[in-house]
Amino acid sequence: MQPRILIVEDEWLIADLLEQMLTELGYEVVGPAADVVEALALIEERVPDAAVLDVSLAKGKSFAVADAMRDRGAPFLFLTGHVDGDLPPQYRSTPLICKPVLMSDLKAPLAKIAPTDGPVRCDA
Amino acid sequence: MAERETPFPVVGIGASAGGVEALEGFFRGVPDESGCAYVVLTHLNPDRRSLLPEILGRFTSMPVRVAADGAAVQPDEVYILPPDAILDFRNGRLILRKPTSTHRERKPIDIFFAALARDKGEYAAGVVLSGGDGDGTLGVKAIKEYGGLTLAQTADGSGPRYADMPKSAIASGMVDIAASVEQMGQRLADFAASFDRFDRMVAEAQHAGDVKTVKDLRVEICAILRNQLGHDFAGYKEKTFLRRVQRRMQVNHLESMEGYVERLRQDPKEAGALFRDLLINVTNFFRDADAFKVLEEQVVPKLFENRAVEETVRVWVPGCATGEEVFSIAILLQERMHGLMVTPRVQIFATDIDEHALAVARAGRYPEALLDSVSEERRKRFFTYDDGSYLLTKEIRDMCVFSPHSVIRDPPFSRLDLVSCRNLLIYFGPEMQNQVIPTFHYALRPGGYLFLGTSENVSQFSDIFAAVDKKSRVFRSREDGASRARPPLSIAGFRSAPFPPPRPGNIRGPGGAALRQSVENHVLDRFAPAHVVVNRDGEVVYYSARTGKYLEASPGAPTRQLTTLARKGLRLDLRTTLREAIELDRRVERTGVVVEAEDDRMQRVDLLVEPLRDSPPEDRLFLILFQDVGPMVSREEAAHPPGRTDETILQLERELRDTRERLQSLIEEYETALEELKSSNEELVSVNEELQSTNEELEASKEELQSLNEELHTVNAELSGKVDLLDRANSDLVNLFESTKVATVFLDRGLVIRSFTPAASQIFRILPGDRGRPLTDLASRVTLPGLADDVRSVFATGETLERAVDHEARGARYLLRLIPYRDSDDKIAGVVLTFVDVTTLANAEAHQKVLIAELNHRVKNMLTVVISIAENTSKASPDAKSFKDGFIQRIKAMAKSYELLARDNWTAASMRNLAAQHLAPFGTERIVLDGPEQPLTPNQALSFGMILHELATNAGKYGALSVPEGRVDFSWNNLDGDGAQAIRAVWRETGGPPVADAGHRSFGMKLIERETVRGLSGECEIRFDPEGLQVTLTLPESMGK
Repeated sequence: MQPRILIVEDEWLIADLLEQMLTELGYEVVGPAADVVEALALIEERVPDAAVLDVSLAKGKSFAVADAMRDRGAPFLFLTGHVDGDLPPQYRSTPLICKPVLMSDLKAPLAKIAPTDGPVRCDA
Repeated sequence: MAERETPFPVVGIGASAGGVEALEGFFRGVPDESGCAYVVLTHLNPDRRSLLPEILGRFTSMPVRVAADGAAVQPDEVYILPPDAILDFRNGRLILRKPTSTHRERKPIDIFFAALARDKGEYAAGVVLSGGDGDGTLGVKAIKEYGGLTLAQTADGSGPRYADMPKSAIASGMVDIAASVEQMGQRLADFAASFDRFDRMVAEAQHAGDVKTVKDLRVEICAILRNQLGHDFAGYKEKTFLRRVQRRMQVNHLESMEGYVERLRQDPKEAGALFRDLLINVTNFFRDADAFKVLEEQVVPKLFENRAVEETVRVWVPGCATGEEVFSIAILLQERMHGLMVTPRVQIFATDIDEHALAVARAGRYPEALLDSVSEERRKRFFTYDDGSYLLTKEIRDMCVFSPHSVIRDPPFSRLDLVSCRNLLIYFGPEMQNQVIPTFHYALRPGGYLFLGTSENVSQFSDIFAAVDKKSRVFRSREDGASRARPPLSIAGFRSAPFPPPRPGNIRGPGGAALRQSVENHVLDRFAPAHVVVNRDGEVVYYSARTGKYLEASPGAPTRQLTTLARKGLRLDLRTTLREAIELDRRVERTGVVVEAEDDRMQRVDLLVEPLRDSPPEDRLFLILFQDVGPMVSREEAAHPPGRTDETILQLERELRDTRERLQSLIEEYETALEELKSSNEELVSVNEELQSTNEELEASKEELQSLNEELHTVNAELSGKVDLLDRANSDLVNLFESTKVATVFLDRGLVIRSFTPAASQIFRILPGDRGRPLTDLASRVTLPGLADDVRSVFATGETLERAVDHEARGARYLLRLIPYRDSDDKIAGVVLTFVDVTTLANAEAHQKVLIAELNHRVKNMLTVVISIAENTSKASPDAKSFKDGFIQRIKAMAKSYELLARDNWTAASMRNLAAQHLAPFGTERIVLDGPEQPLTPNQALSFGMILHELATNAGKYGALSVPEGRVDFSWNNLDGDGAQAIRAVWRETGGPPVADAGHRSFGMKLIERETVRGLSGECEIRFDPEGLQVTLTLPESMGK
């Protein structure tokens, strides 16, 4: 069973890239959601195993999504373009990955919070 | 001299009250590169900084600096005496000393001039400008003695405001050039240039070939001096001699020595001037030590011999000038008195016609340089050292009385023990000398001493003066000779000769008046009764012939007192008759007076006393006639005239004789009383002298007061100038305070407000009346925690502190600076608080931070997007080349959109421009754009850019643009439906190869769809019509028209 990872990212090209990467790393992608409302709806539907959250969305920050994840005891990590994330205190310990992001950047932090059997080779 | 190689003149310039003006004039007249160094000395208030350097700097191109200790003086520079300092000069360097006493009356000019003279010798020059006292006179003397040049300001149109100082210097006779300030500069430059010329002259004199001219001229000059003044200078040192001659040439503006010799011949005054210059050596104390030694050993002890305490040793120093001679003698006398059991009073009368010189002498203050010849012991005992000058002790000064007096015009002093008149006679011609020397004889008591200068003599008067030491010119008044004569001087002016003595020359002429006079003389001699003329005091001023019968010389000192001269019997009647005539001022007769002749015979005489009406009443002269009555008779005949032997008569005569005897004794008593009166009178005279000396002291005090007053005057003038400046500065400050928007508060040590700018009311609730209140009393509009601590820390460290302060009510932010307030002594006297409004700066800073963060975010997002595009492009590309083409094209397309947005500062981009930009590479004639003016937001523009790029690329590869006849219509318009505005854009291709929906979407198509839906929240419809591709995009409009 592949872990389900929620992607929250407003820029569809980046979301697309993340989706490809996660898929390649052997995860099942939930979303991607472009805003908080969409993301919360997805969580409500079924809580994912983990989430990759872009901090700054076009319509505000993604901390509401983070809260919802934490409330449900699901791990997540932040993705940001800012230099110093300037995260609220409660998220200081949350892993933070800086853009631009490569697959190698994602692999280890994600493995920590959502272990997977390994990449599924799909040659399509 | 330190710079022996290139010596140059150093000019000392002394000025006091009114000196600034004179200095301005002086420096205006100094030519460029005059070759002299200038040292300016003024009487400055020690407590104030002087502005003189700045002032003088305006009038000269030379550098002007305040004299510093040890500074080597350089030519063409100006040095200024700083306040509260004394300037000395040694080895070409200035030496600065702090005065030790607070005594204001100093002579800085004298001190510096004297030091300069000693150090620079003939290269020294002294200039005395306007000033109110006698400072500089002694200094000028010193410079002159050492061979330097001396100048003083003369009174001209703009002459010195206070002329006392230059006048005093000029009156000392030591000033070479008296000129107006403007002319001095040129003279000094000439002076500096003259040294070369002089050296040439001396070289010529020593050079064998040319010896003749200069030497001959010198001999000639000596001859002229010998002829005119009787003094031979042949033995004088050649260099000094030529130096003096050269100095006179300079003063006279003469270039050649021949010319000067000519001038000497024609102008006796010039000869005198040169003579005096040559004689000037050292007017120091104890000038001619040998002569003073003789005076000390041979004369002084004699003066005190057999003198009682109440007696006075009287000394007169005529022509005392600046007093060195007077004090030298006073010191000798004081030394002698010290060893005596009985010390009589000593009074030294020092006189001069020059009151300025007297003022200098009276002060008794001399620069060190003039005291070279005073032994250390004497210095210690008779002087007190006071800041570079020596002040004579009061003990010595009290011995001396200084008063203005002319040896020639004024009556001399009398009963003197010593007259010291050194180097005064050289200024007098032989005639004057002939008048003055007998005057001295008259003034001296018999046996008194006369002390003259080495070049003076009384050899013509050996009858009245005997030499004690010929070499030292010490003489003794002869007691014999024509002693006690009236001073011959006074005779010329004495109106005592209404009957001038007959002059033999007059008889010769037989003419009318002369004949008559000779006849009258003859009658008078032969036939007139004997007569005398006396003055009111009964002194005989004229004798006729044949008075011997009535008068005879009395024993004792010769006298002219008529009553003393009268023969026995005549005396009483003569006295009473004369007294009566004097008192009544009319003719009085007395008949039948009996006169006793030598041979016991008697003569009856009628006396007639008649006032001479020609004489003035106060100096009335009386003519006394002796008329014989009958022949001479024997005593008996006289006592008993024939035919009168009556007993009664005899009785009466006896009574008369007794009465006469009583009268005689009364007269004698009266005479004794008179003597006593005389001695009281003398006492009164001496009291008068005391009064006079007191008066002189008062005069001196008055002068001191005057100079003080004047000084105060100058100080006051400067002060009011300063006050004006201060007023101006203050008003500038007030205006600055008013105009500045920077809130500033001045606090003192106790946080008390001293001053503040109006802007400070924005920070504190402060009113103008709050000056003097502690700042902590005031309500503050901002929170200032720890202000008191900060202020204390500024006091402690002296360092400026800065604090950011928020003014919440105004939403402003201030930068508070605490700056130490330093007073003129560089001590921290307070703290200045300034509040600089930095609100805009803070806002800008915050905004900048936001911008940078945003930029960062965008760039990183963009890079990620690029990675994504790369990823996708690579997936869709069969080979590296097509990847590269596709990737680079897409990146370029993005860059185009960016460029367009950047052009309008990232505000908006027009749809038409965007389309034109992206479609241009595919040929504008085949693509038709149609639509209204439609602005797009930056996000919309970027997305649209990508979409248009993908559409065009697709058309170029597979669609209408892949064949020549194909074309594209791109149109857009505003939809105004449902209340929500929207943009609809339609891409329609026609004329291309037949199109069919491949079913599988390429990355390009995916990008168009996704970008429209996800990026722009719009709708996208793609129709593969057979005639060509048609794409319809609908997006919500987020930007107004």
